[in-house]
Amino acid sequence: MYGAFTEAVQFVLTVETLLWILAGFCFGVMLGATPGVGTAVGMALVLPLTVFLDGTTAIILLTCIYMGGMYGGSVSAILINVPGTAGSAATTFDGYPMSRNGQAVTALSISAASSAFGGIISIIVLFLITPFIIEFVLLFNSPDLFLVALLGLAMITVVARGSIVKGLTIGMFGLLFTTVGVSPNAPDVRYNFGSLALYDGLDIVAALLGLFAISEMIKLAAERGGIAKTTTELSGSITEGIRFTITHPRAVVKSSFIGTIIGALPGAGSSMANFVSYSEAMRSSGMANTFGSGDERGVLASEASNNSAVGGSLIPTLSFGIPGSASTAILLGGFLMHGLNPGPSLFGSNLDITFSIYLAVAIGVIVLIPVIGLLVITQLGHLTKINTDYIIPLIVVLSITGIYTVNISWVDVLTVFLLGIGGYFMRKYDFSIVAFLLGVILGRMAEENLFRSLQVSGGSYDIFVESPLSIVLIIMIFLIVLSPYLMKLRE
Amino acid sequence: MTATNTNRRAFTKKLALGGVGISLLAGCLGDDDEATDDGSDDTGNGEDDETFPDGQLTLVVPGGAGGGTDTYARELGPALGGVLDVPVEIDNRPGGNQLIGPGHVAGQEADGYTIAVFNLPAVPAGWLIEEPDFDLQAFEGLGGFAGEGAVMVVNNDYADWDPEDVLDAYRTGEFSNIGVVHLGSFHMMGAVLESEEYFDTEFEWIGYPDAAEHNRAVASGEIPAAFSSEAGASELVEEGEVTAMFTTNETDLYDVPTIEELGYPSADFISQSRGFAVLEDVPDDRKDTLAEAIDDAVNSDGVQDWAEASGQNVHYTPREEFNDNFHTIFDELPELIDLDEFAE
Repeated sequence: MYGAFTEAVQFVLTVETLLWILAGFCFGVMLGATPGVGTAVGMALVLPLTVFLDGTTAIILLTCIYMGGMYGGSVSAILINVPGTAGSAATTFDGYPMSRNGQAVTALSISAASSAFGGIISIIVLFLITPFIIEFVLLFNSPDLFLVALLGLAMITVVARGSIVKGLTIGMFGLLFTTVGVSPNAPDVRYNFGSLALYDGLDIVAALLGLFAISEMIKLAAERGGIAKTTTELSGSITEGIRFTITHPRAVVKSSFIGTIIGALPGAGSSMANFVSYSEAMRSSGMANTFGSGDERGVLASEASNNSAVGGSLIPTLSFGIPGSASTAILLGGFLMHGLNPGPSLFGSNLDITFSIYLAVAIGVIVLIPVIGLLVITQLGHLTKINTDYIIPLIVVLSITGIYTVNISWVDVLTVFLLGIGGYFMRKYDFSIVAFLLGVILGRMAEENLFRSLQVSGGSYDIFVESPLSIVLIIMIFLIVLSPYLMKLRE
Repeated sequence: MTATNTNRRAFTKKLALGGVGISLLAGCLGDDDEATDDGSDDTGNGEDDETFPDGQLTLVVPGGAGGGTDTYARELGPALGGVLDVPVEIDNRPGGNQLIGPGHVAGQEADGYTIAVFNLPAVPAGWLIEEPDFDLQAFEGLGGFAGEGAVMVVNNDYADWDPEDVLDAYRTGEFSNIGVVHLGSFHMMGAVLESEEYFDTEFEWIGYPDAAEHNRAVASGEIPAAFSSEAGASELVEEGEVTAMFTTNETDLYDVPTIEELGYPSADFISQSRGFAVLEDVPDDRKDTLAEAIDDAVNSDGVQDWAEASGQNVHYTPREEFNDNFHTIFDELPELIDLDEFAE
């Protein structure tokens, strides 16, 4: 193990490799910050160009694009309420209100600092569990994955402020959204009206763009001035953001662990990680009413978790070749293209390659996110003073071009518009968008694993209480569902 | 009152600006089908076949970037472009049970510039099940580039069992669940292997999104066995995470018997294969040019070196053989499998 680590250090700490890490990270940040495009498209574009690189460098480049994209997604989420990637959707809830209140710079620096800490913690976890990584991946079976999804759905009771009935209703609509298209485990096609364009269902990124970008642009269209309200001055600072992050170590560590563990679950990913982490931050704050109106803890929880989810997602990808997202699927394509087989050998005879990837990510989170994030990206806070006359057409066009580029489907464009209008009315009538999105993000995972678990057990529900892990998850679900009542009792 | 009017004016103005942006965008994005309906100038398609191809070729991959078929296409595309001295674009059209891609090609002009990448038997089987509104049988195969059989892998608790013990466990009901990529090529093959002519048993198919996930489920003990692609399971077998029992075809990847060596009929005909196809209305001389170029590209040093280095199973299947295999599936698959029952 020590020999592999030394080899990895020698490989990564060369000028050439460091330049590729820098290039990948910067490209990723640009992609992530562009509404609707996301990292997967950029990685797919770069993939064929990597044939000129050796295998390990190519994988490092792709991983750094992925990591940079995850961080970059927060920039547009905070500045213009458009999550650049699905993994930064929860950042909009408090990051964007902070921008509206003139605190964009503080929000961006919290994002950079917590992303860096989250990334560092996930890399430490990766190094520590490397000897047991196969056992870790084998721990979660279909019943456990269903219960994890249910745990996320239970968070609706926490995030739905005001009427629980409204929260549950809109959450169920989110679940309904995921039932369009072919069932994950059977060839039953639902609500597609005979069209192949709806065969695979509605796109989650299109839903996010509609709910956040379009609905916000409709709202901004009735206002004068820039995104930052005309009556406010830009008042935040970089040091304020860093100080806030450092003084909340418990929240950083908890969000990072949530991100790493959820990122490591097959089929979960950073979008689930950042919603669960955000919801947990709300639950544990005991002051849920401040969330959604510019609470720094919301930005911290979301950003620490989505960047640590990148490290977590490498666990199933490297150990079993299981892609947890479109980005990791392309990363796997990079492995195949360069003759590298993802699997247990990456934690045995090819451990030096795995350690090289870890080190590249470590350099990204320790050096690049703080340097580029704090010194360069935070300057973008001034964009919130630009008149929305220029912002609105730009965001609408970028969102539609971006989403069309991904799947080349007009259904996605229609989804953006319809959910844009829907999202506008959801806000207007105080329906929780977080609850809706929890349903959208977790529906597929819940359905697939529920169906498969019952297939495996021959229809018996006993399968959900057969392992100690399942029982722990069930207890956690009950605690979360009952937490609003328990808190009231405590008060 | 004034404030309300101002807001309304601002709203209308900005909505108009957004509308202009969208109109411009719609014009820029256009519709692919319309863009090529009225001629071939934009792709440089001349009518003079002596110069075919004189513009960009497009390989339409029915899966997403980074998937198995896409990985091959991104290696073969430049090689094909090198042989024909034209650029080759990879166009990923994923989804619809792998039918969105062929459906897109079916809507293009039959000029030979748009080439479909097929995965057999999954694409024709999907077409038979879904019955989409285009005719997949109007395609003609131009040559194959990869093929592989299936391997049955079992949890290591059964590493000491021989293949017949495992099959007997399914026949007697001791086992019922078996993992497979849902509606993938090996799902079709497994359905054929249930017949009296082969294993004379019934499997309870447990669908997973990809081979890596069902192999993980076998390793964890969630299911006792899975039908995997040969390449998909080789690393896990080599590292001792799962145990290989038998393969459907001859292969160097595993030291286990084939179905034929176990005393069952040959199963070569149900292996998975990948290849290129165009609409049959493409002029014959263009199809000849493409078929020859595919042969040269697949057998080129660059592609073969990559195949050897990466462990990918790349070999050329002649045009006639690949086309026969493709069209045979439409007739034989419904004979071998009750597709209605399979699709339930």
